[in-house]
Amino acid sequence: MRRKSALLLAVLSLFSVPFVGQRFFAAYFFVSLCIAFCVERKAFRFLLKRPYILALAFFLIPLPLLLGGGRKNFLMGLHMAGKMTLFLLWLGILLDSIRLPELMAFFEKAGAKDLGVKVTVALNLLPLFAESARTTWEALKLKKGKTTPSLFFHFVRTFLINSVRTAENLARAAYLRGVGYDDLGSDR
Amino acid sequence: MRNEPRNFAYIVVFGTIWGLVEIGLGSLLHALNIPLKGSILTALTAGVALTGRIFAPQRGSLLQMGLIAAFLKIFSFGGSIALPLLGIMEEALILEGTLIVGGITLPAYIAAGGLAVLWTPVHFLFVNGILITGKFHLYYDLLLRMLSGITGLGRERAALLFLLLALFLFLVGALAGVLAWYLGRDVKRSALP
Repeated sequence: MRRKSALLLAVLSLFSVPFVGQRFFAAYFFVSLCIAFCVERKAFRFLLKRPYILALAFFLIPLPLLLGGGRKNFLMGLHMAGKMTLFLLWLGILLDSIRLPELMAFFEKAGAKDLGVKVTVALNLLPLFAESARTTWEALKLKKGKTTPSLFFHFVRTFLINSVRTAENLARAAYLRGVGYDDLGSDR
Repeated sequence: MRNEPRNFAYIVVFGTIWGLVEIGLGSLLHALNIPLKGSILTALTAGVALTGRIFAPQRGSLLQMGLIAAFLKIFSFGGSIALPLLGIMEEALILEGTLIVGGITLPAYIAAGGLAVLWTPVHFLFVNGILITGKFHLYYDLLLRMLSGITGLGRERAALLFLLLALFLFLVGALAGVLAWYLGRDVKRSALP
């Protein structure tokens, strides 16, 4: 229940953050931080990460100076830093409150059949394709000698032909393992 | 063999290639920090996805390829992952939506590629200028300054600069669509005799 309310609050906050004006931002920022603290304390860990500290420092010091300095530009940098903090905080809470099996089930309901299997197979195919791309490129370079636009075209064509052949083998394997049997009906 | 396993296999394979391009070339372009790197990457990935649609013609296949590419992108190096994921899903939605309206035809491929690449500056302005910082004019100025630097035209001619950018990006995307259309057919003839 708490996770679902965190998800809902994260979605609402992510949509509302961009539309809060500078005048009400301080109050909004404080309330939002309090709610986030009650919902998910772990999400505040990103405040200690180096990229966040660097971005915060950029918004607070170099950016107002680049824009001409002065109180107005400093307040604008502060406003931007605040929005970035809230955006990253609620994004972290959103990602923490999403469970992968639930997300997969949602996509399956939306029509993406066997998405979990597809992602798993894709993860296994990734190094295979990276290796195939590398060997194809090296073989073509050995044959043609120098890098030209036509070499690039031949590379893409050869790589895609290899990939399509892999897909055909994969289709046969998927068929043998029962992909698509659900739609055959009771007389299968 | 029925079409279901074939659709399954082609969605997986082209989703993986899309993810591979996003991870490999995306990281390279990010490191080189060249202008319009997002548009270049979108043109390439749109080309891959549209080629894949020739082999997996069922409705929704581009969305599934996009989902697979987005899952693979999670494993890439780099700072922010959520924003490229949003970009990938936006691209998949545009490609799928255009092909649902136009069907699997050459004009639809041209429109899909063109619209997907045309969306990249909108994504840049929306994500950075509205969603994260809320300072749209800063990013608008940044884009305008870059365009002015590239073309040599003054910043006061903003309408012309944005029109030129839109035209250029649409042409790049359309070219990716045309290449995907012909390359897909050529590969189909060669690989599946």
